[in-house]
Amino acid sequence: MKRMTFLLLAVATLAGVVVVLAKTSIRADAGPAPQSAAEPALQSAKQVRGVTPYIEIKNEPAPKLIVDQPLPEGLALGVVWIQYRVENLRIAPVFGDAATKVSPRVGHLHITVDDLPWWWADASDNNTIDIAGLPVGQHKVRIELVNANHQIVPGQTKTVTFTLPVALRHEP
Amino acid sequence: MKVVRNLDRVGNSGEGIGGKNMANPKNTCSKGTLLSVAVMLLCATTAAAQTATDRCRPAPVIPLASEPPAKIVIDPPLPGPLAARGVVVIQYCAENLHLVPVFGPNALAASPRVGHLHVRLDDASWVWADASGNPIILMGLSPGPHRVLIELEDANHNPLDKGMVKFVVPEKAAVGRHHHHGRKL
Repeated sequence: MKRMTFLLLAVATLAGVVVVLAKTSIRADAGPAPQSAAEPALQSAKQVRGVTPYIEIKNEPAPKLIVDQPLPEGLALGVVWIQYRVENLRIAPVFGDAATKVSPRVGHLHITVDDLPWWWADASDNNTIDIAGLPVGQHKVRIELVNANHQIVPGQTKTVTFTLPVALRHEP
Repeated sequence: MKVVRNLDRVGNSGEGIGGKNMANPKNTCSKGTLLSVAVMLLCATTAAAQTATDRCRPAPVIPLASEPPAKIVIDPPLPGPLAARGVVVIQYCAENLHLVPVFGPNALAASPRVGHLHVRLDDASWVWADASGNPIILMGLSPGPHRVLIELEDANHNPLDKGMVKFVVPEKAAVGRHHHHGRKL
């Protein structure tokens, strides 16, 4: 009888452990990690990366383009590294009039150096524009946010002006 | 088939930078031969039969024991957008190089080899980097002849191979910035 009680107790304890473990794992899957004084809560994937491409958005807010000044580490080498990000638009190599109706919205960037008449399209979403070999001195890079059919999003053209202090050390 | 090989690997123009991997149908298709309609059609048909994207297999991602040198294969600009709107769409592919935005000396040992492009227009002193693998798209170019040099670079910006494409933006097709809004590719 004593042995039986012990066994029952053991089974009950084990079941309890399993329940606690299960709860822990559900909590970990469901959302941000538990807060502690040392470690702030992690933001969810959606909070940081934005909406999923799988669900259409009704009345998606207007797209925004955010462009940083060139990174000082690059300028010191004679290289222009300009980081950018967008909101309410996904940068993707999808072009043409039909693609302007895609939801969530898709588009890309047009990049112009020093007021040249021509520009290139950048649909990479590679985080950073990289230009090397410009002569020492002041330059500007204009970045236009455009829809899939190359139409500029009103108010979302950013121009970065900077001074390149040194020339690139080796042939780019 | 030989014409196609020449299209991508000419090297007989003797001008410009590089001199190999030149996509220049004018040079390729019997320089000195009367450019009859028949010859032009032959070039167009053959080029269309095997494009840059046909030449390269998808880049592998699992480490390889050894890998041949990287090569760039470039097509002439798509004729439609160039003729109609002066828009330059250059399709290319890289053999034995996985085009990804992965940089720095520590990435040099990565296998399969990773790298990106440096693109230069005409005689510019500067290049821009493209690590996307997407076609190169240029707009707003002035009418007349232009050339685009495409260099394959390793992850630390050392050149691996290069090729050039030459083309002419037609007078009537050239579109300036003032037409930027609403223009189609």
